[in-house]
Amino acid sequence: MVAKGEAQTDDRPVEIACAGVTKVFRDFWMRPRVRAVEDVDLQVRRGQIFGLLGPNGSGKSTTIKMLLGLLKPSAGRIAVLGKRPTDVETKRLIGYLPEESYLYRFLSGRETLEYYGRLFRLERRTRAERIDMLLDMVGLEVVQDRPVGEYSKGMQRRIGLAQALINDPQLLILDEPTSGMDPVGAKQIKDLIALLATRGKTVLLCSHLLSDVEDLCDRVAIMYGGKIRVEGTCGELLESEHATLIETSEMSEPVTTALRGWLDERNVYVTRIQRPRRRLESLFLEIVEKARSEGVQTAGARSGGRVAEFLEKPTAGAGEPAIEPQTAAAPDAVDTDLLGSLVSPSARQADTRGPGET
Amino acid sequence: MTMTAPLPGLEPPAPATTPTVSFRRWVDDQLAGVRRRRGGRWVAPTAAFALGLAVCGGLWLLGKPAAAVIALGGVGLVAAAWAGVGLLRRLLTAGHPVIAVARAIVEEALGGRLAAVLAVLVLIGLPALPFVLDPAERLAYRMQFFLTWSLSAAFAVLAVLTIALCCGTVCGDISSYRIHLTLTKPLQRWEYLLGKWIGVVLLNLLLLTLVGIGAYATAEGLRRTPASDAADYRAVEEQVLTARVAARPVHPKRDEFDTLVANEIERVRNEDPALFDKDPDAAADKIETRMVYAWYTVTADVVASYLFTGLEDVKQRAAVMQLRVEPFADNSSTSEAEVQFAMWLNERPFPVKQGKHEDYVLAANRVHTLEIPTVAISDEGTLLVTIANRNRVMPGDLGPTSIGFKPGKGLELLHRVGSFEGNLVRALIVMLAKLAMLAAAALAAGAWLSLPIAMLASMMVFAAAIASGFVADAIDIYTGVDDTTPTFVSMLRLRAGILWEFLVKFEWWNAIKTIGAYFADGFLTLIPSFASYDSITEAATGRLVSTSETVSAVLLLLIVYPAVLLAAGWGLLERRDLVSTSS
Repeated sequence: MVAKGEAQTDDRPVEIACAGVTKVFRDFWMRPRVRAVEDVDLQVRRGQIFGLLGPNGSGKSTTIKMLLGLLKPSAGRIAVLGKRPTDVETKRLIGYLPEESYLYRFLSGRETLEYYGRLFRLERRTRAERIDMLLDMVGLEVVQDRPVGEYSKGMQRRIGLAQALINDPQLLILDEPTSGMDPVGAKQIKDLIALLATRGKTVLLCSHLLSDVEDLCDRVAIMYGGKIRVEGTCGELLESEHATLIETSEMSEPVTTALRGWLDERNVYVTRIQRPRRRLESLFLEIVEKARSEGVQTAGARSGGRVAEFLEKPTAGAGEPAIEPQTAAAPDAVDTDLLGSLVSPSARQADTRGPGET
Repeated sequence: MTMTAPLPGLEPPAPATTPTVSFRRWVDDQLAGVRRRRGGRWVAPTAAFALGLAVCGGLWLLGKPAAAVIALGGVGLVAAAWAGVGLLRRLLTAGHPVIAVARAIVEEALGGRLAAVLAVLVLIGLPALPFVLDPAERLAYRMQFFLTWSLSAAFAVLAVLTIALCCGTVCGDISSYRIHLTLTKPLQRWEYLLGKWIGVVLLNLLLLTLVGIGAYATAEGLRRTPASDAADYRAVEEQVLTARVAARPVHPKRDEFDTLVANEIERVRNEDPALFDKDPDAAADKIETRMVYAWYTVTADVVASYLFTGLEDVKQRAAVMQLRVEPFADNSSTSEAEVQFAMWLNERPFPVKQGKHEDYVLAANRVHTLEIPTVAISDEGTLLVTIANRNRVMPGDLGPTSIGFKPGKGLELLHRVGSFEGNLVRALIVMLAKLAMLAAAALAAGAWLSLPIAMLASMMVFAAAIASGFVADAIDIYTGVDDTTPTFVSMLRLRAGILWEFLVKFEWWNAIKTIGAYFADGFLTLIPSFASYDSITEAATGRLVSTSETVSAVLLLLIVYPAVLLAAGWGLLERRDLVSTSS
């Protein structure tokens, strides 16, 4: 089942394109061992929050690593921002948060951001400004001089998120971004992702926390066994055709009975009437916020501050790259020929080298 | 999607909270803040440095100058280490990604336990080494022993540190997936490896500088301890803490000697033309070598002369020089024989004691260093050494035995051409070049292999580099090959013949050994020999580490080999998947 209605009418530029991508891991003797991803077709457009879902071992992370050039596909072709994933210049526009925080334990939080900022060749002043803003945003400015090895998992995730944003990326690839985060931090990340999307950034979100994806994503693909089993917008995939939900103010028992009778007469069958419940997340956030407003102290990361100013730049809709075109490949300059060849069936067949079956 | 009102996580922060769970953490954080904002980082080191200087001053006032100098070296070493680390960090603040990677590995090394242990080993071991030496031993030997062992031990420690650090950092980055974050930034894989290499080389530069400062300060302290006698003290100054070159003699009548050699070659050619059929040059060389040996042999009836030239500036540089001789008693059936000879320098008898020209009586087959005053050198910068055989007739012999010197190292004139300080610096540069080569090899191994295998491969490269001559000989002996002047191609040919012989005789084990030797020879041919750049022995024995040797080491070991090895590492890293399995 593949729902592609919106994708076909959407004229926003394609920022991630995969055509017939397969990845087979081989052993020392080059014998195929694991077929992690098989014949995956994928398109992510500018400004989308695209959710890649699936249980453990479904091929989500492998797909992401191929998009980032860390793994080479066994077959098929990939274009990210119009270039091959191994193209170094494209990486100026990508922010990546891996599933685990793979950080240098001996570097402090600030040094970690310095290190990644320098890898992006950011000027000293820009670097310092962004680091200050990001540390404030993720709530780690008090512990910025402490080695990352001493951070809790959640704090490491926060610093990991900060490094993913330091280059003001056009494309953000987040692998399990809320993993290890407390609900406050998770909520903050979700809000941030939503904000970035409104600013025109593209987000590829990989998670098996379905509620996160449902809250955020405007398009999802569900993987299992290395294949995409279903793809479409949340609306298309989740809307039930056989039921209608009406939410009203509180109804008394007689009104409920009368309403049920009135509906029965018209052959509309009521299957469930209940009082709505609050979500646990909402309750949790309310308690934490109350405690904070009362000045209760904590030894951990404090709640994040405002979103870093450089991330709030209005790029939404305009489609302009966040980094100057002369220093990086602009998304607008997407190689349409390359993408065309990627998505055309003939190109796929010509390029697909059939790996052995496992 | 629509934006809602700010949610709790994004609202302005609540009033700053101060952690109360751990007081120590709070203190750490405050101190970190002080360090960053108010220059607090200078306070503790400055106080420690002042305390160290006070201890040195106290030792000096207590009449212990040697201990004071050595303690000062220790203080200087620690201060230099602190300043050096600061300088290195400042040097690596440039914004280029390669420099960022270099800085990260420096921090990794400084933060790692292995580096700390090895650094302490060097920092404590160096100043402590003189105290374990026997004070009854001659000072010159103690000095030589100290320099040899301190520099050799420091090099071995740094080599192990380099290999462990380089293999550990690349393998660690790959196995812990840290490399995923680094290589998803705009950084080429070769830039990643180059950054690691630059960081390790700069770290080694710092550590070698510290080793140099420590060794120099300790040697200066040792120099101030009492010597056995005046000759011992002179030996320290003129044979250890100096930089000398060895001059080899020429025949005083060079033209006549050349004519003699040519005539002899012609005579043999006329007598036995068959000798020249196969390889005329080799036959002529053989005859010339025989005649040079004859010139180096002082028979009972011959006074032999050896002319040293090019000594114009030696008189200004030093008061004495050394004639290094290793005589052997030709025709003698006893290995422990002595040789006795009289010597003249520019036709003036030497040595003359109480108006009498004395003979030298030296044990045969031993190296002897005879002190020669530089005033003996002529104004033209030549020194004619004339030797007359004064051997006694040994019981059972018909006449006195000849005295022979092996051409080359058997008779050399060592004279000062530079200072110990300059020599030490050049020796350290050569050591740095070797470590840079090892670093590149270890990084290339780490880019391809898992940690234990990469360490093993790197240690093999290290072992092959320091002992390639011995290993090659061992392989030759093991496989029954005897070639005194082998080249790679000649060995290939020789082994091919041997292999065929084994195969036709069905001697499988020997055939396998020969095939193994092919690989071993190939491996040794690829690895540069560190023995060709033995700067530690040269510096410790007062021999000049020449500029040409230093430049050659820098070009080969610091530039060419690392470039090739890093390119190989890059090729391997570029082609490999950075995830072995998938989840």
